[in-house]
Amino acid sequence: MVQAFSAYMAQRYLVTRWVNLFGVFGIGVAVWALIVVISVFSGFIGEIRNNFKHASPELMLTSLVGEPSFEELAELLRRDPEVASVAPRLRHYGVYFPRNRWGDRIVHTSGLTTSPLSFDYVELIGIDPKLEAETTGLNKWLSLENRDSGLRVKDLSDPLNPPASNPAGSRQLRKDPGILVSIYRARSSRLHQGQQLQVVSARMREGDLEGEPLRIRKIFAMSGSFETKSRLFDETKAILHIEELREMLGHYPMDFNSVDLVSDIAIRMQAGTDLGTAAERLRLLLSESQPRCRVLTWEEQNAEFLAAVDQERGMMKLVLFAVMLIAAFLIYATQHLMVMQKIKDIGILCSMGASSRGVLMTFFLMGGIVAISGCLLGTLSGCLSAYYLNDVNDWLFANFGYQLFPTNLYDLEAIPYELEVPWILQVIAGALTISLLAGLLPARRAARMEPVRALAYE
Amino acid sequence: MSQPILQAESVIKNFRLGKEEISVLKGVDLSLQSGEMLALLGTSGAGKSTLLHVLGLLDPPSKGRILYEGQEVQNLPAQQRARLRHQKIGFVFQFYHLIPELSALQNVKLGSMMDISLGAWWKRRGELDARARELLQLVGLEHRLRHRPAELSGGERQRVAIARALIANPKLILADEPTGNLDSHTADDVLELLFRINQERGISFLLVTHNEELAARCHRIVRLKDGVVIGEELPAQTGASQES
Repeated sequence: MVQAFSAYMAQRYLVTRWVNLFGVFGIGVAVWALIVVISVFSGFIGEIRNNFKHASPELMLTSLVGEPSFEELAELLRRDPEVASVAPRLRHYGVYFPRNRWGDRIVHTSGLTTSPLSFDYVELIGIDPKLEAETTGLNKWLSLENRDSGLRVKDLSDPLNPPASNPAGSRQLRKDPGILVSIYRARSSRLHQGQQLQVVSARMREGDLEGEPLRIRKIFAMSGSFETKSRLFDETKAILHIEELREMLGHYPMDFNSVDLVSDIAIRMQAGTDLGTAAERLRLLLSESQPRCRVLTWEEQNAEFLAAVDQERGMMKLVLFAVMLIAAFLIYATQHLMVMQKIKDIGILCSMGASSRGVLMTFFLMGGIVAISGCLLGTLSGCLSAYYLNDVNDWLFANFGYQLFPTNLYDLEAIPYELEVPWILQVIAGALTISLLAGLLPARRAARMEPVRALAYE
Repeated sequence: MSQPILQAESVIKNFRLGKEEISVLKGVDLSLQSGEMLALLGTSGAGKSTLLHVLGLLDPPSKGRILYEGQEVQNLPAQQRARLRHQKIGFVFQFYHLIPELSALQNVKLGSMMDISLGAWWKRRGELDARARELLQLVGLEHRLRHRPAELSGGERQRVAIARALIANPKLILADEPTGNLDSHTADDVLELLFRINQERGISFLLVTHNEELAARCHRIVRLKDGVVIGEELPAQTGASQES
């Protein structure tokens, strides 16, 4: 039961002592920061996850050993009724450099590629365009949404078919196999459709893993650009036809000994399939032919990066929690100050019949009201700040040329944010608990005061 | 004779000062009848205020018994002592001890909020407000309701303190040198008020003072010296003291 005098005195002290506003402000700022920073972080993580999901197959069969044949594995995979489509992938590494019409290497001086010795190192991904389009978001990657680009492929049904070019001073039109590079790379290297790209790589000679590697060199022509929105994928990959890559690796279609080699298989499942369960089921399905294979969900394919970002969010929460502790200390300090200033009042209240519990409640209520007001202020301003963050960011940029969160740095159209109700509730609960505990200590001190000493206090 | 409203039996109060124990009250016996006005007379350091605090349950005795209307109270739990203090005892101090943030009316009303829940007080707030106003009218401060202590004179502050002491309808008022901080004219006015309250309402008073003239106007005088009651006298029988 709250005695009337406790509530009355708490209210009187609060309205007559402005020092309490420090506590309200402190908690408000801490709650605000926890809501805004974490909502932007969550929004950012959500954006990254979406991008990864957009750029990755739902499931990926990988860690294949030997010289696995796509058709054999695909046949096994298709036995699962929830497998909607599969697409072969072959990965290899290489470098490419653009060539001018005379066949010389072009060196651009933009960005960091200033050295004539520098080159673009990529992971070459060999795909079957038709199967890939059925299985992954290839067509979306190639559509270059929101980009007014001349780098868009001409024919989505045949994306690796570049326009003919006349290279090396020749007047004769030449038709090279197509290659797709990301829009970022194309722009930074000023590539255009039909641009010849010399891809250089190496492979070990068949049956001679100890010997000198064999150099591979092949001329491609850029058929267009892609953008998956996963910067990590886009910056490191170049896409070409799987048959071209197989040939580079010594597997010719006409050779009876060669296999339709793959390093991975992209898998699309029927809508609504639980990917984790399906991955495990498919792994068991292949356990005989590929005992060491792994079937990864799109999240597992990007697990390290997602874990790192999540870790950063955790660290940020920890830092902001420290801010909360400082705010709670502010409440403690102001409440302690109040108790010290009101010692005589405590004696007076006791002489009038106040119990020690009533005295405790007086100061505890004060701390509680400060904490609740701070939480309300912080929550309201935090939610509003997150909601209007883009407007504020735009206004700051328009008027002062300053951005709170430079969207172009992360290639975002707007600052992402995600107001997570469970997190907001956690912040409020945490702030209230810490603040109330901070307010309880001075209140206990007040309640333990001896009335006679309090009355005599000067 | 009716049962005393307050009795102190062999009350001892010791304080520890470092390693030394100081005995301030050394076995005080005292009783106060209902409606009686008792003066506790003594020089500075005699233990008057300490006795008042012990009798008012603000400070527990080291030894001895305190009885209110025949009930032993010194060993009651703190919560019950606080309730008893609120319901039966009013305090008036030399330095008024008003809450500076509150107006005269609010200070008096505060006295009605000590033993009542917020909900119950809210229901009765009109009635309690009227009572506080009535008491301030009784002490002649109906025109100073909204003034804070800092805006009132010493005499006015003491009147507010008296009104506050009366708000819970106590049977006993313990006054610690109530005129000690006032000029003689104002002190007379305040004393008149106390005597009037005593007569009209039958409230018992224990007045701590070192003023012989004031004490002489009370029903009975108890003299305290070095923590011991050295005598009791009835002012009408000056010189016929009863040595204890």
